[in-house]
Amino acid sequence: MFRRLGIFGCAATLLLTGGLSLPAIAAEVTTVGIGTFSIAIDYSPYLVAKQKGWFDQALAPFHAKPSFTQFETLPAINEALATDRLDVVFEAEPPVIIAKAAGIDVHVTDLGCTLPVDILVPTGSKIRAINDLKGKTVAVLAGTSSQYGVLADASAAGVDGKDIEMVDMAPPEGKAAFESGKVDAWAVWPPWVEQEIVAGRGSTLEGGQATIQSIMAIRGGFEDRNPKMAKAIIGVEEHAKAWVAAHPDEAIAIVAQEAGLDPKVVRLAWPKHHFSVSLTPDVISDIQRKADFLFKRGLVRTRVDVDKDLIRQ
Amino acid sequence: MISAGRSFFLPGRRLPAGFRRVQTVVERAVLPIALLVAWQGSVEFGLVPHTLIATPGEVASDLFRLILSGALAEHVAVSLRRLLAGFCLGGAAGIAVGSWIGVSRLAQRLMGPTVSILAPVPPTAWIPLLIILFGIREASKIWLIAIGVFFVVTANTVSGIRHVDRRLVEVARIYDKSKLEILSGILLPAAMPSILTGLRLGLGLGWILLVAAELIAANRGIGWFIYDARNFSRPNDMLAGMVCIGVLGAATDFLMLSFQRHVLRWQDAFAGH
Repeated sequence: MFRRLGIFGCAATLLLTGGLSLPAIAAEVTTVGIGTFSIAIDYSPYLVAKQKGWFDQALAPFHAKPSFTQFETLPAINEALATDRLDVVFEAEPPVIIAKAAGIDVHVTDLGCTLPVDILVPTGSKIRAINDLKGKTVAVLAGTSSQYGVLADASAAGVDGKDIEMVDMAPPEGKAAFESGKVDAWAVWPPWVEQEIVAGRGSTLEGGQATIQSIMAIRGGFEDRNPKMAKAIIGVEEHAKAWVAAHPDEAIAIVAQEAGLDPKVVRLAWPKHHFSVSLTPDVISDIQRKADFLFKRGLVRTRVDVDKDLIRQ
Repeated sequence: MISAGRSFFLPGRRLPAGFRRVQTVVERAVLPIALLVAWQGSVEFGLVPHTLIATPGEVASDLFRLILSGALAEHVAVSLRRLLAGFCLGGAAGIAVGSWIGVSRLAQRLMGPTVSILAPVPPTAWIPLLIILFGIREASKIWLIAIGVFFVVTANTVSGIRHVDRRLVEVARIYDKSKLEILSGILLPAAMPSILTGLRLGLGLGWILLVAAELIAANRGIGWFIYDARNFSRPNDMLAGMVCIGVLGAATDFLMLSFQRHVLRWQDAFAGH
């Protein structure tokens, strides 16, 4: 009887000890939350680094491992950053400007890629140039570089933004509206653009000058507490950018596989992506124009000084 | 058990009428005040980030600003028009189809399986199809609300009719009443409690779907206002919009409940202890 109780006692003690030590063991490995918004080919360095395990390798010396999340809505990214559930994010510049304007502690630490803003029109459309958009309906996700780009390019072509009817649509709804002919044009980014071109349903307008800056942003609190880890992550991104620029064929195959895309779509979009880029004064000025655009339209209540408040290299 | 007119806080003591009114007000206000205090406290003490959640005071101030500027009234008017149109369309179709399935076994065989398969599909999953069929203007938004209301009202109408006492229908048949007379004179009145419950649930669902509907290429409406505020990290506006929808939802529910009580005034139903 006592022996049986003793065995149970030992088992219970071991279980309790093991149970109590579990969180301690788990706490030794830090998880670094890395996220992206939707699918985009401009995340190619990130996708290649993820596939090749470079983030894992870079974080291993810090007893840390990456956790990857693809966000489908922009607000969820800022909510995850504000609640310390996301540490690093790859996206275009407006969401991070919005986050900064709302007081969320986040900084742009690297530029992944630069690409032009595309405006798609249906195959056979009478719209041939940007100034033909006057009086037309354009689907675009509000607050994105694409929205800014349509208005900036229209203004440069002598068309007042008020003369274009912009309808706020996320890419899946924009695709449904574009393919069913419910809108005259669709301002969106690769691979959505190339999917329509490859399918023979659309073509892009020439002459636009607006660009999308695909950035890497790091949560301020994370960077302050883990400066070496943040530096290692920036190093991975820089290495991946150089590798992607030097090995386009292999990179295209990896991106197609990682993003679940037709390699033809990725190959068609590839030349418009410039990976040998950095946060130069010109790029910072471009990001500032977008910050001012969001502020002037009343979309954010605080003006962000990009160079002073947002960039941290 | 606490009987009517007795205090919730002091059970067993009968209070004067004036005190009872005050007590009713206090009882109704306890939970909202507790929630407001918890809300303010959680922001003040940093349990939730102030960058995402504004305090009740900031939201009240923003609400006041939106009312004074007329912006809120504009959004509310647009949303109410969409809700009313979708609710009427879905409710009327739900009562009609539900009545048909309820009275006809043929209709049950023809429509029952399809309705059973389509009913669990989240209404928001219809959005791409609705854009293709009805475009990006008002029609797709109204149809999204109508679809949600339709399935709830249909299910409640069928259930109401199928729970009518069979003997009532047999008596009507003895008196040579036609199928239409049985439906209008016996089945629908007897099923009215269930139908009205379906309409009330449908109205509540309509508010939920309104927010989803206003994600379809909208630039006005209280649902769009909340979405836009969340998109651009404006927590004051977002919460002001949520409060507005809550108040409007409660107001329309109260109207629906009053209508239900009026129609079912013959019912001697249990009203709670």
